[in-house]
Amino acid sequence: MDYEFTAEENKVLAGIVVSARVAAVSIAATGVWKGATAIRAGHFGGVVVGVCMFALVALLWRASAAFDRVVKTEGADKENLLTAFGELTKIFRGLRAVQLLLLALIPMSVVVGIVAAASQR
Amino acid sequence: MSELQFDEMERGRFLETAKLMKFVGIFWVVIAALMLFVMGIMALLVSVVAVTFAAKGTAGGYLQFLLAFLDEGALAAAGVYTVLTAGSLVKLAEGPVDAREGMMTVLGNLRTTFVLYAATVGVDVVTDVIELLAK
Repeated sequence: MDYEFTAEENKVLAGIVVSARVAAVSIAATGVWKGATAIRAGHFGGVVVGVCMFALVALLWRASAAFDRVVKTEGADKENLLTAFGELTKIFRGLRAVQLLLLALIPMSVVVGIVAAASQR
Repeated sequence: MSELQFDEMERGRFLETAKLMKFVGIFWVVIAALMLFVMGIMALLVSVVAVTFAAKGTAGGYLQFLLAFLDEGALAAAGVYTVLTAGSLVKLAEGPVDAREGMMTVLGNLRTTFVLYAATVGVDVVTDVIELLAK
């Protein structure tokens, strides 16, 4: 028979489900806010940030759903746990990609700034 | 009921997740530390926080500054917990701890990471709303 988490362990998992969903809802609210503000101001960058946030929300929700299945179902706890960790891997892969992009953009924006300042003289 | 065990492939996946988490966590910590450092220097240089937000010079200005500190502090804490979660995941994958015990440590750290990240985003939303109300 597959491993089953105890009632005590399920409490920790239920805590993860709640905190992940609170984080997802907060990110969704921020995504809507930033997206709407960007559309009103005509900034394309803000729209991209909003879309990225919604992708993060979708992955976070899927991970929390898998953790929820560990708590609420029987017979496939380990499988559901591994699914949740698979979703977490996708989340962190996406976050790393965004961070690498930001790191690449810093020197680029410095160069653009210098060129713009030089062309104004 | 069987014991909780992970095979080589599953442990390999945990290591991959841990590697990604470590990168993301360290990035958050560095960014938050830089922001806190800059804000701290600003506050020290002008000695009066209100001067930083001279244009507003109101209680709202102080509140915004405080929220910005809270925001970066929560991000730094979330980063630290992400790195801790990655560390516990590595321990679990490399096997010096019992699989059940190791997984519970990972899950406990993960829960705190989510709570701190939710706090970071929550403070961000409140800051945006205050900014909107101040306009």
